[in-house]
Amino acid sequence: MGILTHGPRALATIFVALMISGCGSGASPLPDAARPRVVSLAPALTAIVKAVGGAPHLVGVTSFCDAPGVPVVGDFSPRPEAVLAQRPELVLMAGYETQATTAAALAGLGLAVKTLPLVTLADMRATTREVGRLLTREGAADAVIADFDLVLAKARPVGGERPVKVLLVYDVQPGFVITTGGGDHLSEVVAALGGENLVSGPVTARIGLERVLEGAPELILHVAPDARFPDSAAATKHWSTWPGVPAVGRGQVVVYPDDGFARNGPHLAQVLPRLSAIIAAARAARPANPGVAP
Amino acid sequence: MTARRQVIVALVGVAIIAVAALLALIIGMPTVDLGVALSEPTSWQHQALMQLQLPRIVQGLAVGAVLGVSGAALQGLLRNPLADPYVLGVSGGAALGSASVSLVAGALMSAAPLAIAPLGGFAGALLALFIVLALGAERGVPSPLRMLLVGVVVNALAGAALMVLAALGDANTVQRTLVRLMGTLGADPAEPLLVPIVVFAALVAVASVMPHTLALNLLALGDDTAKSLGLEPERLRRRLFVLLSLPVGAVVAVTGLIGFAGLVVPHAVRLMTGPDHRLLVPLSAACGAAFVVLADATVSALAGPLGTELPVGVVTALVGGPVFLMLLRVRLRGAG
Repeated sequence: MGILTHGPRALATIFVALMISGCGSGASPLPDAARPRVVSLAPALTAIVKAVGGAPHLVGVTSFCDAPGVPVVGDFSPRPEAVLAQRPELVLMAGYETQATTAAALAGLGLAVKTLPLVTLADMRATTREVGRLLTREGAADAVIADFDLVLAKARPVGGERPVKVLLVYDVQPGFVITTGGGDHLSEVVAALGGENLVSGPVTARIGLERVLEGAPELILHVAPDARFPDSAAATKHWSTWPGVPAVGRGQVVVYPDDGFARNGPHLAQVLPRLSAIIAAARAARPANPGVAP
Repeated sequence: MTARRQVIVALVGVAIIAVAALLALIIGMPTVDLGVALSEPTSWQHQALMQLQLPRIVQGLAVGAVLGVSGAALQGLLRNPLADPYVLGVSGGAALGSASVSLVAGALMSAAPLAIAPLGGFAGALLALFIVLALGAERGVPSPLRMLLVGVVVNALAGAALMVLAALGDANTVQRTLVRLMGTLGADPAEPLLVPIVVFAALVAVASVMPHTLALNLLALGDDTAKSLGLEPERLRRRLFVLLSLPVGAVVAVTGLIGFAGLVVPHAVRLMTGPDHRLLVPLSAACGAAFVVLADATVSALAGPLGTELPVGVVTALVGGPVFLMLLRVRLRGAG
């Protein structure tokens, strides 16, 4: 029962790491590698490498990465020899707590390990630039960031209406919601699009339902579908026990249809228009008289 | 024990529970104005009080009572001061059952209900109990030491199996189950059966043990002496193991592992009442209820400053561990 005695933070870290990851795997012939040969141990970093045109550099990825044809070396913490076998000249890691031992082991084997954080949008921009620099694709990296910032600027709402109060949901437990307390790309994106994260606290926070009642969110947004809440209809049904919550009463319970919002990376440029529409719909659903409390 | 003394014990128990519930109500909802909650039925405070906080307090009292009663009874049955309600493998069984069923349901159903994990946990706890009873008997007679050892092994095997599931199955699902099993109280109108289940479990636990408190006193004298006084120790053990594992399994399945309550509370009560199970069992139920519900209120009160709510099992362990060491020191000093 050892794992049950671990702190919730460690488990939550794994959970969040998985939530911000893509899925998929591939196995087949080793591609013609460019230099440097890169092993990526984070799905988001793999996506960034691909976004800057660095796919030919990839000689190893995790089983959660979307990189068909590239050898899979394991999960977030692969056996060091599996990484070593790909003869990488650079190992990219995202700094998850659970990867610390692996990072130390790989560095101890003499591999060049680069840890690149990916929590905030600033992290994403800096990491994209750094990946571009490491792969000598600075121009492509700058272009990717410029595209993202352009889409973000276009998606920002005009006008001075107060922000839409948004409850971001990772998971629901009896009496609790697992959410983000801010300081990550989810809250930043919501804020940029005219929303406001209801919760302030640690990046991964567990809050009681009374805080949801107190906060009166205007939009309940499940950040990605899962087995229990595969779509908005399932989530709406679950939350219907709280008709007094403005988001529920106004039909503004939404499950974002894929994991694009949950993952951090330049691909968020494709997420922004849809997310902007979701937040705009919640704003439009407000009662006509703004002076009346919801 | 005279009828008058029984009434006094019952009143003391009720008073402990009432004071704890009231304190939990006051400190557990720092953002809720009780006046508004009681006077304005349309306010969110009223909803929070009636649909969340009160059911949660009831749940905490019931869970604490189950842990207190079963801890006191198991320590007596096994004549082992380190016995606690999770000793017979039900914790590992419940964890494995919850995770397995969640994984299977996730694979087969488009939207698995929340209650599927507790149901799986209950089934897992029963399976673990069956294994412990089957392998912990010598020639059909339950052996306390053997059952303890088999329980430890079952818990360890379940832990290993969970690791395998986490590695091979949907890691998200397994991690969610494990986080839930860290010990959490929480009522949710979307899952209306969870509170009645633990209340029923508490009634079963108390009703199972109370008629046997005198027998537990005889058992403390040793099996041979108990037999000479007309008791059948094997039969009593088998009966109470089964009867107690049902509520403990239900509680673990619903709220996860709330550590130390079932271990520390009977020891603390024993310091005040002595070893008489006629006092020890009911007061362990009351004090267990108070301990868990106050620990949970502390967790709720800390949620504001911390920005997140800790599992109640963390607080019971943080408080229960040092208290247990302190009790140990007091008893050693007394023995010296």
